[in-house]
Amino acid sequence: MTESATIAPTIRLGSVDTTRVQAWPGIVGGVLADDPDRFEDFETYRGRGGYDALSSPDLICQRLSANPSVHALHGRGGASYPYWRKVVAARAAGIEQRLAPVVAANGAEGEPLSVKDRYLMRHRPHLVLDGLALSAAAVGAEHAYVYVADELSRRAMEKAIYEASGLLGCNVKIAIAQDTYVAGESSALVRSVQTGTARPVDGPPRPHHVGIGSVPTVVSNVETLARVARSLQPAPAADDEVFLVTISGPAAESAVVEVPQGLSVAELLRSVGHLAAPPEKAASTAVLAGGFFGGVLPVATDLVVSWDSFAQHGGGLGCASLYVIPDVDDVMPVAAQVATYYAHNTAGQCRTCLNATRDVAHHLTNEAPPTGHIKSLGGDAMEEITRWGTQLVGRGACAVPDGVALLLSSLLLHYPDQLAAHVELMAATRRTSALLPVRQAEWKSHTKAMAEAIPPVPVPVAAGADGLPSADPVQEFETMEVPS
Amino acid sequence: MKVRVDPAQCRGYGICHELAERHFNPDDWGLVQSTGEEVESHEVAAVQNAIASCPYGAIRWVRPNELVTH
Repeated sequence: MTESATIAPTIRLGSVDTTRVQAWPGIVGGVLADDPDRFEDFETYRGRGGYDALSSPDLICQRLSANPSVHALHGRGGASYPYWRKVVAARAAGIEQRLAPVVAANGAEGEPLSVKDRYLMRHRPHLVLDGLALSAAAVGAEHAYVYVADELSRRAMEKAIYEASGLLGCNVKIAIAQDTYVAGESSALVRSVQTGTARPVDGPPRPHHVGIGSVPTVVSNVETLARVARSLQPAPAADDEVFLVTISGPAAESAVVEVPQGLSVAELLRSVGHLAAPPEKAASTAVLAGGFFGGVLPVATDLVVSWDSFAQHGGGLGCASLYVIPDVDDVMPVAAQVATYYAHNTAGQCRTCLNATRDVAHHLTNEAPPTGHIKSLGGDAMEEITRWGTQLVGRGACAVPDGVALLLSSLLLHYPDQLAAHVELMAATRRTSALLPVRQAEWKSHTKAMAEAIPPVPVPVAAGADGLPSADPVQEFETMEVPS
Repeated sequence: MKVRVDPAQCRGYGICHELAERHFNPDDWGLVQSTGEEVESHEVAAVQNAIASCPYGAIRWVRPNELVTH
């Protein structure tokens, strides 16, 4: 228990401006252009075969349906829901309800560690817009929304919509997202477009059944849409899944790398300078996976970039962002920061989430007990953490409680000793009260001095005939003689 | 047929848990979520009673064609 354990190294958030963007050697035909740092304008995109598929809108659904890479495509926002299943469900719901569905590109990117969506919208807005228009054509939508929080991304998308307006075949609008953690959840998107409040709504029905304006709505991450657009263009990537992974950490500059599914995480981290340890000691390095959502995992030799592999290791790949924690001693301070972040960034709706994030942050930090802290079912801190690791799953309108549960369960699985030591240290060093100390001794002496300084005011008491106060003071007052 | 509790509505009265214990599971703070079990025909009355008894109207039936994605 050193003193350094209490001083948390602040998580370094990536910025789009300083992020290096590159494709893994051998990955051609993904969503990155040949020169990833250059902005792709309308003419360049048209020259590469962009928007060509939109010239025959009746065939788009068939062409997408016949494309194996579209069938294999999972959403890149974090939930990894199959894209085509969502499209088919919205199409079917539209036919059933006799309504034309709506499509939305989700570029809110609330995960603090991910920058890939902002990169795509800022540098290749036409690719995203093409994918959105293709989705609209596939479900027969007349209206489409681009939901975006970042200012520069919004400007790039607005310009792209203006330039390509004659080709899109649907009416595309910009919807401004709030820059909050929960704003990117699909039901929060629907609610935000309708009412301006970007908070999740409990489902079912999910947005692809009942969405914006009660119409089936296909909400897709912007990277998903970019991949849809890319799949119908000349020379697309192979049928295998390809990911944009955001890598950040204290060791080196953050990077966005387009990698194939199944690539070793240790190899990936080493290639971008985030892993200095030799291969046999790579497991002493940890990653915070999936933004803040996917738990903390050691970089094991069999950990590869895929949802299945991360799930097998007790975490989640989520939006494919990895934060590297070089030292095992830093795992718990980072986890405490994530827990504190969750406690401050819930939607403030579901009581379970409010209570759970508050109490988890309470156990992992040595701040004073929060106001309204209710002692729960009992047991010591580790028993509570163990119970919450499984109990919180599925208890919110969005997946924040699931993220907290994943954080706790991954810590219990991989770092139980560090967790126990950290919780013990936090309990031992916890401040007892959040209130400022009241200097009671001085206050008392001050009151006493005041009392002595001012002499008591004599109160005239009307006396009766026997010298005692009268039984009826009002009558006594009226008959009292005024001294001259 | 399943039931779901809207977590944003639940205030932890726990009446549903008393009426249909198999389907409503309280957490450490007394807030309830459905267990996700299929409601059998002999339990429908109890669950319907629980739905009607919720002071915040937080419980609803989930139709079989509604996908639960999380």
